Amino acid sequence: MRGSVAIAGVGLAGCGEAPGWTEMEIAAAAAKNALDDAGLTPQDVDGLVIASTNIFMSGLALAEHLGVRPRFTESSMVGGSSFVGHLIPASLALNAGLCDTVLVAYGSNQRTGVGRAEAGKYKMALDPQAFEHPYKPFNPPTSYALATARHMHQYGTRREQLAEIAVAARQWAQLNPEAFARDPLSIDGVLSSRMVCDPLTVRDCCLVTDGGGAYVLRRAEQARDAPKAPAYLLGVGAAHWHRQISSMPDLTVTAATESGQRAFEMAGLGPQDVDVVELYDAFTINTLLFLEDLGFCEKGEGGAFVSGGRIAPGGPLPVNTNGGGLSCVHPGMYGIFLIIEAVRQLRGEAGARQVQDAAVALAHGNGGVLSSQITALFGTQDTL
Amino acid sequence: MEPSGRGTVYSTTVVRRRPADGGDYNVCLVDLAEGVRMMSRVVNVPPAEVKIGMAVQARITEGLVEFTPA
Repeated sequence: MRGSVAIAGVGLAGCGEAPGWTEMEIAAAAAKNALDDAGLTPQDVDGLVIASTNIFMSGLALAEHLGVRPRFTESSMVGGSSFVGHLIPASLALNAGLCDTVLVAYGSNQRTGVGRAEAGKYKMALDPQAFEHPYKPFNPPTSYALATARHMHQYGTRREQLAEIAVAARQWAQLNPEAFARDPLSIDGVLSSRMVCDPLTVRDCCLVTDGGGAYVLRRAEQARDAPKAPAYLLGVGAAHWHRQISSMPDLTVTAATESGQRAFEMAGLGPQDVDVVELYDAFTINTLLFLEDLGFCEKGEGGAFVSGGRIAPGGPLPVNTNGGGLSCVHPGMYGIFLIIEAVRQLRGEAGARQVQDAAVALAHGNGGVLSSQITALFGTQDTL
Repeated sequence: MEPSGRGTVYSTTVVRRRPADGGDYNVCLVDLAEGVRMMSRVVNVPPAEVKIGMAVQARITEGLVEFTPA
């Protein structure tokens, strides 16, 4: 599978606030931008992939909206990691010759449309979780707060170290004109913000925005026809061990230990080969756990690893170069934005935040409450 | 097997809530002596004073298992 498919186009739409736009309109606008970027039209699309937290039969809805008649439709839903996970069935379908051009799209209007709180009431009724809901966890923050507290207890990780992650994300966002939160942010500013679930303040938590994204995946030889340099898929791996936080075996170790290893094995690469890292930072603890679990540092050393601006602009390891879910965009499921930023970095079109000579990029998706973990590695032509 | 009701706090958080809505409350994960982990809450102590490693004892209140410091 290594190098057999590549991303030929990426696009964003409605990031930040998109009042009056439906989820499907945002997804379709992002799809149009990704197809334009790939030099293609909706008529070229014969594989369609989408995941939604709200829309029933989202694949049928998007096809109807775009006016396409796909041969391959896929809507696996494993939370925010879904769009990284979609690389797996999409690659298999392309390599089997079931289709030639797969469009993966996402849209959400959770900031200005129906809000999380309102939608949450219905979801609680439709999907009761008998062993957690009676205790009123304010999820997702409560589950991530429990993981954070345990990591602090077990490894001596400090809130200041977690705040470094939020500050680094903000510094990257300040280099990205498309990022939503670009005001200066200090470590003290993170620590003194409103507490949501101890020890997480609102600045340890991702943004709540609208937004959509899309990418176009093709077999490598066809992706080379695109106007932009293809970003080749070098490796991808998935793993999940639980859904609810009370079923997570060890709150300091995620299934990224397995997904990362699988992706690195397929790619024939290791953490030392990665030039730019995009991690699903729903909360500051995510970045720390994934750096450990993907092998960028030892278990328990994440706090020291991120300290002193080491993942911020100018630091030795560029992490979440668009500003991440903490400061760029987070419409509920961030996974697709990891891939879009990885591709932009590999193309060298990331402007002021461009990582010099980026040849290998890692995109790591997280879904649920540290539940679904999916890692992808992309590379330039030179890495094949 | 008769459960002992004994447990140890594995992790804990305070969910912040406006006083008008009932104020802050505890949510935690408890490892039962029998080896099972569950979500619950520790009561009879301010939510921020629930600590990881704390020994706790189960009781049933309005059909729900909750814990008090042992």
